[in-house]
Amino acid sequence: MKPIDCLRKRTSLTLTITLVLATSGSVFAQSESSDESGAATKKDAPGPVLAIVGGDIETVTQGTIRRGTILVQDGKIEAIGQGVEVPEDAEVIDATGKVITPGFITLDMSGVGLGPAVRTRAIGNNNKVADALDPFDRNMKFCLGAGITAGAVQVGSSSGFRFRFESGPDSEAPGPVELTLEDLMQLARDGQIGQDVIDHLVAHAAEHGDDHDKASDAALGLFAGGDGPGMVSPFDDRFFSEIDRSGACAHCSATVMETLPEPLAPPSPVRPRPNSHAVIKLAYGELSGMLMAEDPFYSLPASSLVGPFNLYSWRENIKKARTYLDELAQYEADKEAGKKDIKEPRKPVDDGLIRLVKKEIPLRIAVDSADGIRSMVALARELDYRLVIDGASEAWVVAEELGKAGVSVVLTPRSRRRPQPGREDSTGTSIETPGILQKSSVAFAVTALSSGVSLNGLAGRDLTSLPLEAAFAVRGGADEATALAALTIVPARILGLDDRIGSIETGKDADLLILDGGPLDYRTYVETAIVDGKVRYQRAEDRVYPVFERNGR
Amino acid sequence: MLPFVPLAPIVAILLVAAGPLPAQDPEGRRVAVHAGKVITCAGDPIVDGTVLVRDGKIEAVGPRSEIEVPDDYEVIDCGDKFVMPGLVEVHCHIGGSGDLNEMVYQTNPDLRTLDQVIPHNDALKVGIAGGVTTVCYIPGSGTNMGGFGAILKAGPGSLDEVLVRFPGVLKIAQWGNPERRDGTLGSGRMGMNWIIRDQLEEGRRYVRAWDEYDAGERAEPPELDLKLENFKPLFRREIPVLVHTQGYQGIQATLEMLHDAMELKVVIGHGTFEGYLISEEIQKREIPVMAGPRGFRFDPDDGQIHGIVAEYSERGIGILGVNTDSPVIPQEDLAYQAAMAVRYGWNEEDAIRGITIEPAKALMIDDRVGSIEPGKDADLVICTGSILDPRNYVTQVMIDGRVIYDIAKDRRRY
Amino acid sequence: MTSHRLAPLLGAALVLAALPVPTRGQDRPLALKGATIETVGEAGRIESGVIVLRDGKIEAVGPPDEVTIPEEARVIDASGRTIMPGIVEPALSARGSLSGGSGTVIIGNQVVTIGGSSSSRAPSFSKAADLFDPYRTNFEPLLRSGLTYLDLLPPDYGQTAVVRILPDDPDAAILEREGRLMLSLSNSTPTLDLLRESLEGARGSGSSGQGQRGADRNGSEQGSSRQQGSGSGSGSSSNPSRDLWRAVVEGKAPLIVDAGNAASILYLLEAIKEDDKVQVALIASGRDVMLTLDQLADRPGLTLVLRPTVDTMPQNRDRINVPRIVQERGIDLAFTQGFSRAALQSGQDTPLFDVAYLIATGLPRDEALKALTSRPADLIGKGDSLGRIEPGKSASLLIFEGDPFDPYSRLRTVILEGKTVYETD
Repeated sequence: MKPIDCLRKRTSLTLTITLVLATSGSVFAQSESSDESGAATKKDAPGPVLAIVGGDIETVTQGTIRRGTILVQDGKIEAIGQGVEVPEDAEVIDATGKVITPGFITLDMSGVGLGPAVRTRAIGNNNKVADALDPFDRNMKFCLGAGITAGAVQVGSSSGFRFRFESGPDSEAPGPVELTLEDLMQLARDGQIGQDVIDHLVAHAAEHGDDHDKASDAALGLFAGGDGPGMVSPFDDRFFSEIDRSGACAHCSATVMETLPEPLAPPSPVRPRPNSHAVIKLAYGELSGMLMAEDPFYSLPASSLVGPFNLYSWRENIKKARTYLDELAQYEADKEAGKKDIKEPRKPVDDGLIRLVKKEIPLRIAVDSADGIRSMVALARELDYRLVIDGASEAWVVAEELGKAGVSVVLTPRSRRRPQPGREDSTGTSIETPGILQKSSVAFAVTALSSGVSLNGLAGRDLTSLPLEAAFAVRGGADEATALAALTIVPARILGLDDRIGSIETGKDADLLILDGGPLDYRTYVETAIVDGKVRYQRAEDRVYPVFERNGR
Repeated sequence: MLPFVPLAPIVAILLVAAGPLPAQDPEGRRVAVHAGKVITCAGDPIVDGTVLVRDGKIEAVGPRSEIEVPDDYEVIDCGDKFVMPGLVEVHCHIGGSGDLNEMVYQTNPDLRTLDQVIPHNDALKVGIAGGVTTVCYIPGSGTNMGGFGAILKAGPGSLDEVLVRFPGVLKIAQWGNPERRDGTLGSGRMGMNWIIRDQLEEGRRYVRAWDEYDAGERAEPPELDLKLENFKPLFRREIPVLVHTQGYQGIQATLEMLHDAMELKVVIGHGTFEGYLISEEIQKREIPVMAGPRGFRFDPDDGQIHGIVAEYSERGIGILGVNTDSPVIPQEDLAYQAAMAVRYGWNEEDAIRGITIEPAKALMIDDRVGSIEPGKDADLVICTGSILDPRNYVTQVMIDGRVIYDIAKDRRRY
Repeated sequence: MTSHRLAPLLGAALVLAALPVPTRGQDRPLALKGATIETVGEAGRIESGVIVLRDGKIEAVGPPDEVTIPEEARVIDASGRTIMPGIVEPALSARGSLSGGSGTVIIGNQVVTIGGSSSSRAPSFSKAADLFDPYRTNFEPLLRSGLTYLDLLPPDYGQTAVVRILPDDPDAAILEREGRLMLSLSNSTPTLDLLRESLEGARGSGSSGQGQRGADRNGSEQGSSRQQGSGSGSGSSSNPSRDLWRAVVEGKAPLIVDAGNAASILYLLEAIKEDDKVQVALIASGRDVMLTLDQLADRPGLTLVLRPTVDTMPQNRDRINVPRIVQERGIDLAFTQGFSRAALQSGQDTPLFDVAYLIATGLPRDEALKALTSRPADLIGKGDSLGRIEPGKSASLLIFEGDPFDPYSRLRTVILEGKTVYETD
């Protein structure tokens, strides 16, 4: 376009900008007002009060309060009830006809809220999660719109991936060039490629990783070169059907290669290598308070505790940790007593293992078979640590044992594992698992079919369908209260954060959802998501999900 | 010890699956089904309704108060549950083995999934637990013309018994998978569309020659060509072509090439991405859209998710449904696909029709399945509520008048 | 090694037919009359004004009835033209183009240059002056863009250098070797540790104490991780970065931060929360500014350094005029042309088209002028000599055919310190 043409179009452009200003103006106005409450948390004077009135409150731990009021101040819940008086100067949200629940919590989240420095943290990289948060990650909006306000996010899940690109003009050596994610991040810092490109490539790596679990689909051979999930290009919104036959993305021309420096599994417990997680609040737009906890469980890959050698080493490591704690106690007692010539014992294992032995955190491990679950339960009893079973396809077979042992389960009600032929009565998944677990008093949390936010178009199968996963628990026989607990208080307990999140109680964090229907109804949308007392998401304004009148169509 | 339900019936069902039909002859069986709500997909739902089934067909349907149940009818009282027609899947790859891409040639009109059918296989069985009773089992999209698909019932029986129609549909894949990446013709869209047109033109000439012969306009019969034989019902518009097509540009070519030029009955499969933007042209030709498995499109221009089916619906597409492309989405999640379309803005009633009567129309089998109307196949699904709600589940399924899934006897599969 | 690096940076561009001819005879003053003068100073805009230049400085400026043209002056009738101060570029980034250049790769449909080093280590300190070779620099594209002075940034972390665009006198091109402190920031521990520990070290009262740990560490890393091509401040006994950080903490010089993303802006604001005196020149994308607007508006002593372009909203493709929004929120703003801008515009002599577009869509004209001249001049500590047309200030001017923001109006002449350094026919 010639310059002059551009200017002739100025009126229309001005109009666009004005409109945008008008809408963004109101957003800012609102965040300004909420900023005040944030600023006030610092010191003495309590901040302004936010009152949510008229809604049916699902407290999770204290039943349902019809047409109740919630007062929020300084990020905490101040009061709940039907007769609660609203202070005159309070900001009021009218939730009449709406349902209010605690924010949902997921135990499996990837690629949300973290910058590339730790999203792709490799071994030896000294980046701290606290320094690498990204409170503007767009995925947070998609999660908030699905009701997720907190969750355990994987740290460093994509490490070890390399990308192969065609070399361009003026290259010293022709042929493909391999770049690590760090190389690409450097290019992004140099302004040579955009963040969208990094995201696009990270998505490739993530999908590449998932492939291992979906090998059965690939084996069907239906899709020459892998039809599977494709992707909408972030560059020009065209679709590119996945990685083509040569393994290169049709759009970014990258081939994803996994070149981990060491084999992924089984990480020998001689030096256990737990998967790293961080618990984050989805406090969109704000750093403070976003990082709730690090490594809330000792999470080992499934194969880590299989086989005599691994089990032997595991017992040894637990023993070392206990011995160390005893020696440390002795050392401190000696020091207290003023003894000389005493040496502080050296830590023989990683911090996580010590926290595990001290029962500060549970062991979280994926086990599917009933036998495997039994042996993990027995091992936990023998070595005396808390246990959380992940996946747990056959938990329905051993539900009573799990209930007696007080072991919690993390499951995806829809996930499917085929029974062994001839053993359909005691193997494979059962859709009725949630109901069976409930009857046996086994606490369970639900997680989504996949841990990331996917924009590839397959609806209702990623992190953003977490509440629907709880609906599937109801399908499987759990009652609605148990299913809601599986999204809220149970995961909060597993994270050891139930003093702050997971239910609507006075003194807890004000992480609240205002819903336009029941929390487990597939038609329900989050209208407003509040995290730490501030509105972080509004369906009508954020326009992440479709906005329409349900009866209008 | 096992906190769980019976084992024996499971074994029994497995035997049924593998072996021949049980002694009981479905023909002649008479059943009356009472339900809290009968969703007929042919008019308004009937509260407190009754469906009479006789000889594998629906005999009558109406309010319980108006339907007289003869004495010799077995009564199935579903209480307040819902009864609806069995679901119809237009895009299924799990009707048999999965080797559905022969890739030597770029067009394969001689191939047929009929050879691959495994009646009532495990995947179909779970599909039944999701309410799916009829599937269109089609070749993959590895080439531009994968072959002819077969339309099957999901229940047990011999090939003859489960077959609804063969040839069911022709499968054409325009782009988005059949690309040849070795640089030969067919690496790009122009080439692929040419390959399709070229093959169809050959088929059309063949069918015309036979039509002329049949009409007596030609003395000698044309030479029989097995490769082209299945084009006969296609060009006689007795069966549709199911097109793997997507995006505005792709659908535009579908309309021009397959509908306008080749004068075929066309069904738009997938139809995803921004394909809904060409709805007006689609509706002008009254072409069915069976969207999916992708249910939404993220539009970077407005940063928002758009429900693909809702967008088609808003733009007035008349025959509109969803698919699973099973196993891309598991077969049993056909209703869930419709539910997600509702979540993203579709109407619930339309969504129920979009997994029953509308796909039946698209496949041109609506004289047999897709609604509860007298004379149609007695394929009934009994569900604890609206099948769209994931909290509800199917308790009983009847195909051709025979109960083939009943959670009172079988282990619940979904 | 470093000597040839700026050649590609400043463009391998065209050779102009008409080479600039320096004006000889400095003793003889030059008077420009009849032009519209955008002083960007207190006098504002002067119609049909007179400017008298002598010895590289502005001797007088004002309406014809207030300014007496010296008899010996060479008088040029500039009627109809517009004169404005030369553009001052506050952040010419050397990033990306200073690397060893081991090749290119194709990512998507983009050719991307891949450099030598990339790691999660802390960035090493370098001085832009050491990387700049005026003899291998093609100044023409910059002059065509109306740039007269520029602050050259080191690649990741280090000290800037002020360069003036003197094509015929490369030796004099570096005006100031010891510029300001610049840091590229991302939300990652190495860069944040560098920032926080250096600030902490500089806050400590003086020459000793553990507060200097951070700054010392930076100094030592410099030697180990990057081989210095020429002698920089590292040879001297005092630590150059420590002094620079101290100046930052005391508010004597701004800290230039190139923020890699919106999150890093929040980390920056958090790190300097208690340091009221710290002044920041923040280089950021329009998108990242939009995301952090509220927080930025609350920070005192902040100048945003933005490209003069229409941006799109962070969450969609609605077009927005970020400079206008920033200005309306009361945040100071300076424009950076950036090296790619300058290179791109080498073919045209209406360098302010982008800014004109922003003005057409709501950015006040006065703000735009300031953002091009006086504000960047203040940022680089040269507000007393550059960026405004006022008596005593440097005679560095641009003469446009007409309104500088009219796309039909071409840049005709660039005068730098009284010399005509660029002229079109």
